[in-house]
Amino acid sequence: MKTRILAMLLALAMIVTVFAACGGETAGTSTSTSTSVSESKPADDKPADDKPADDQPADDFPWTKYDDVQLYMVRAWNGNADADDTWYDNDLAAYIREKIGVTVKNDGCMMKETEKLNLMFASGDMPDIVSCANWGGTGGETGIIKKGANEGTITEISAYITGDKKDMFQYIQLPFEIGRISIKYYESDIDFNGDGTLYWLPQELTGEKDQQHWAYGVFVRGDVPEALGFKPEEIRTTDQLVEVLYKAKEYGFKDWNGNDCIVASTRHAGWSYGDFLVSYDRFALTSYIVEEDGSVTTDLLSQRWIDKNMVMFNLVHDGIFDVECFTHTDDRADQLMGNGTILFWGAQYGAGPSAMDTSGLLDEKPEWMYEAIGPLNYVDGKQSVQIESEGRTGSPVIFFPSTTQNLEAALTYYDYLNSPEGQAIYSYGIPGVTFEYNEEGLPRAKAEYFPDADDTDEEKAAKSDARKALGVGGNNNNLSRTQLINQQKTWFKEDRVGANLGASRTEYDLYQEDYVTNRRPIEIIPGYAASGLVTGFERYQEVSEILDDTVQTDYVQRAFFAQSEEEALQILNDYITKVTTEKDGLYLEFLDWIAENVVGSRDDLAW
Amino acid sequence: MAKSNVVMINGQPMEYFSKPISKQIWEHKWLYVFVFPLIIWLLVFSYYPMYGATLAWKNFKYNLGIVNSPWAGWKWFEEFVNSPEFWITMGNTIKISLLKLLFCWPAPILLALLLNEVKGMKFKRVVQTLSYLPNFVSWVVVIQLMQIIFTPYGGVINSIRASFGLKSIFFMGEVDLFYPMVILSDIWKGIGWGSIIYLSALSSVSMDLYEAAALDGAGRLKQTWHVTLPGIKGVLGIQFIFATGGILNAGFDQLLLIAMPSTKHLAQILDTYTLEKGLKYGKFELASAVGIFKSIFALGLMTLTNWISNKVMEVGIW
Repeated sequence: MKTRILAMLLALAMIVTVFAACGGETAGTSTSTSTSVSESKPADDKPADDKPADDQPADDFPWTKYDDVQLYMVRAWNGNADADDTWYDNDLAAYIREKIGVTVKNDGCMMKETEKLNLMFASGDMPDIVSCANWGGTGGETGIIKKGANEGTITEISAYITGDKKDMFQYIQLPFEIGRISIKYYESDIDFNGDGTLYWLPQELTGEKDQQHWAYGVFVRGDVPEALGFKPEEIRTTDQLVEVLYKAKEYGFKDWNGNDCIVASTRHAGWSYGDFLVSYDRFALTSYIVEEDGSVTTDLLSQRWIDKNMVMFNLVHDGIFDVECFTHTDDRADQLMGNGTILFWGAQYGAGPSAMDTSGLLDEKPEWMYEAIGPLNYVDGKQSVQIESEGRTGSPVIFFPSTTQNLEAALTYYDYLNSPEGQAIYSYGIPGVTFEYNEEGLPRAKAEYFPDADDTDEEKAAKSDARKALGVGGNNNNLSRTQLINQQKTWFKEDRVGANLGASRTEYDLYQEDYVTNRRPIEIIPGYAASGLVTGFERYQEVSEILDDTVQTDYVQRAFFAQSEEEALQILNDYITKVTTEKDGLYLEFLDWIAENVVGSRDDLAW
Repeated sequence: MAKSNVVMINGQPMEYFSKPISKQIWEHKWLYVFVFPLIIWLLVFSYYPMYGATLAWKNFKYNLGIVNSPWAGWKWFEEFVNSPEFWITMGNTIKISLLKLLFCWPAPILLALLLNEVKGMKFKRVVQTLSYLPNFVSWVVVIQLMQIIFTPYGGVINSIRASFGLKSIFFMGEVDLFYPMVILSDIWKGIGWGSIIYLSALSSVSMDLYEAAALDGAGRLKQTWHVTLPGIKGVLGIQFIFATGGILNAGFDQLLLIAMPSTKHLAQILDTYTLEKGLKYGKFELASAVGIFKSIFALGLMTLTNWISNKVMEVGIW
């Protein structure tokens, strides 16, 4: 009998386990209320009607207040942290809830952006709101969300963004009118069907004056130039740079721990070794080259492309360039930079000094702080700059999947957070608690929550903790990716609150500012980017696949590690042969099509 | 004692099989209760998802789902077979799988035979436990460890080489060292865990046979060859059939992580190709076609191996 009971219990346990495994995952849970975050609904369901709360705000408050609507947002940006546990239970969320009755659980993702989007669309397991990149064209994230829009998984918002209480079309119209959205971006990737249907709201639309400086370049450990007898700003070509790299190798520099240094490296996955090779690049907006006879070719088909990659082959082959940097992570790069192990590196400036600062190296050896090389000149001798087009040609976007539980509430949330009141909340936290409005109606942060230039590290940390406890700023992700036009943040040192107040500016912040302002400024190439028209080629999607960046990276980087110069050249030429012969020479046909249909089609074309 | 005249089939009297099936089931109801969850599991997790395999013959539309998306015929199979990557991917997959079959499959057998010869029980247990541990370390960690150990910038191995005045080597990125690194790391990770089943089989070999062999003058090696290996022949055969069935599973996570720019062209196997095409490009149809191609190939190979095994070793899974 005992055996039977035991057998029954075991069998029951197995059955329960099987069915438990079949259970669906809830999108998220609230710790404070019985209402759960919205779950996905079948794609053919229309967004639910808005459910205004009984206690509507005064007439001069232009937004509807909802009855505790909780929404689930995914930031499809690889490496974004998940929402913290207090996403609902924090003072900032409570303040916003009190105003509009909407709270958003703002999750990140830890996989490739394209994979995340494809998975969401294919499985139908979608959140209420998604933030992702829309860099334009027909590939990458843009290709996927356009497919999603045309196949009904993204809500068409044209009819919803204007109404009695909101005018969200302004977030597209305004930046377009003042040139923050280029014509090409609007026509190709916002109103991409050309009939006025809109599926997403573009974000971070910086203009000419507040264009993001990315501070790309090659940087050298501060003590190296003097030891080798050169001035960093006098290095102007890749050849000159390569010469000092070899000298550095011979010199035998040591790092903070007394170990051998790596002469040249990058941050994650080889990002961005191309900064060492700028002298093989052109000052141009696209990779297309219109020849005098009207035919079109590209950088890829030029001898320059081969020569450029052979420089890197030689650097890898001769032990100058870090052989592991093409697969290593930013953490590994930070570790190496923090020890002063890397002498020269290419990417965005802030990361290097920040790593040195974090490790304490700068306290002991301030003279090792990374300095900018050059900047290097382009192939025609012009000094390299940060090339930009007129207005952005791509941007992050917000879209609402067809499963969105409450589209009106979601739009209200964005409309509110992008109003002057919402932007102040985004930047400074809770009115009356972490900041106050002065007599002129301008937000002024409170000293007990925000760092001051004189604060010690402990004081800064304490203030940061105090803000986090309220759900404001710092590492709290609750409001990240909510701003449509506002761009109040800095890159890398993302303490946006402190940065806005102008506090805590370090020596390397100032150095970076000088570098991007005076040495490698932004330069806009005016006109309509031709890349916006080439997508009109009937088989452009197939061309995009032929030119797949992953495949090109595989070939090119394999050439860097070839056993001999001949083998490296063979691999590079194999790639060119592959591109030009695949699908019966479709790529060359595509270039001919551009020559016939794009060249001369507009007066303002920029190449 | 009188000899019974009852004819037995599979341990049951012949009359048993003339009973209705419902009565047979009722007699063994507790066994069926135990089997029931597994049948449910099989239906839910193995058969129900199979409708998704039809994706390989569809043009998948997000809004229409798998069932309602339009049919595409053999388009995706043709695209895969005609793609420039087909022969590279197939070649790599088969090459790596065969190498693993050649080196990684016998390794646990060898370890089990060696452990079986160890007389000191404490030492044997310690070795066994240590050999199991790598199985619980994920490939992410294993590859990270390998990178740290083999890095040309201060890694243990290269530091030892340097102390002998030898040049440092980028072990993880050397094309010539790619296959040894793959095989050795796979053996390191799986040898202990894989030996469990063989140790279990070895424990069932009668000691009388060893004694008889020893009386006949057989030494250790001869005992192993004539007693131990024939004694575990059944397990060896079954394991070999399973191993060949999984020949196109060359080791997805291991190869995805171990690949360097210089060796990526050697590490592209069917599974990494599926991931790349399926998720990155959203070509779920192509990924499904590759999956089906792989399954049919594996089934064919497994059937062939089973047939050979039945003929040669008198062991088979059916």
